[in-house]
Amino acid sequence: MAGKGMIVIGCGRLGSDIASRSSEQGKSVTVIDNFPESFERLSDAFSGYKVLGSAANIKTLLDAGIDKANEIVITTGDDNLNLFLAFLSSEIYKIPLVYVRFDDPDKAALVAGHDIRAIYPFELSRNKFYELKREEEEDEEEVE
Amino acid sequence: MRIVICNGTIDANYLIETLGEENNLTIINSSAEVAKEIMARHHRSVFIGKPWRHHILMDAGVADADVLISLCEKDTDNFAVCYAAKHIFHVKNCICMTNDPNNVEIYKKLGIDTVICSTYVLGNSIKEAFNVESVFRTMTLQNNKIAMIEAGILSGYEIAHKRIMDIAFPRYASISCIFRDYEVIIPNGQIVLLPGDKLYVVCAPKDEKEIREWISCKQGERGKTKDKIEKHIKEVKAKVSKAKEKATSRRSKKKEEK
Repeated sequence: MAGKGMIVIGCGRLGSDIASRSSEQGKSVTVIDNFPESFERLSDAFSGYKVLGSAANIKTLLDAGIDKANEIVITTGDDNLNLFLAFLSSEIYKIPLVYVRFDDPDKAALVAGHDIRAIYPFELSRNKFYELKREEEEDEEEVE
Repeated sequence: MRIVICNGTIDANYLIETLGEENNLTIINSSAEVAKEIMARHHRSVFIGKPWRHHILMDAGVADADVLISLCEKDTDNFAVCYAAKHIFHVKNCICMTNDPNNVEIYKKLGIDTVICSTYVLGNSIKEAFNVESVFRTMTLQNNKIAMIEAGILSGYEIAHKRIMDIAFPRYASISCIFRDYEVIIPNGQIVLLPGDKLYVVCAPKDEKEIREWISCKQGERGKTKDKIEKHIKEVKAKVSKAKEKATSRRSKKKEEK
């Protein structure tokens, strides 16, 4: 379907945002989701392709052009599906840029050593919490 | 052997029954209900939790187990369990069940030792059954003294697209006629066997099985089966000679004792 472009799997809050912005920047974007109503999250300016189907099915992925993509963003709510898709993209389809979101930080041990860029919301939230905490303490010190 | 069984319901129960007596089983199940049933039925302890979570695998002590079988409902869950078991806990052999036949080759490529898909197995056995059984028919004549085999030629057979004179047909059987496009052809060495042909072969009933196997041999496999048979004969011969040696040494020992 799409030529050398970006595939976004999962059109939730994160997926739809990345897909919309990338499309607005002129990238050729294909979004995959199981539910048609998920595509409503995309911005009006989104001009990419929408593929309805399960990302666990290889045929859906081929419809979306996984064999030709050079960037893939995996954001489904299922960590195990995300893990499989990340390996499939990186090891079998040799996509140069693979981004994947994991809720379970344990998955880091599995993707370590592979060319996979992982995002952990848990780590980001924890780091932000301690950053806020530090700022608060610094403010208190200044007041004292 | 130390075997780990992850998730599953009826299949898990069956495996526990068949493997339980001779092996050391570790059972993990994410459903408390199924776990309760297993505990009641088999009087075994069950670790309750999602088997793809590393702390569950760690608590269950799967490290360095001999075999892990993952029977989750979702294919990708089985993939995650097997991948973690293999790479983090160094389980020697991971068996991954899948529902989607397309996943078999992909999971193997991604490093899972064994991938089993019931649909895939079923499909292959139907194919095989069709290939071998349904294209062969045999009738016997003269009170089972003569066998007549009807054999359909498939494109994958080694003898397809070859002249009869080039195929070294077994000497103890003879192609009596070929049925092609509703016509009977009396064979000679120049005739090329084509997929879709039906061969009518006469042989002795004792050779019937061998002839069927010879005809249905697939491309590139003829030598292999020959090699296998030769290897087997060698092994048998080696065993016999060993047994003989033992017997003679025993005899000589007995003589000495006497």
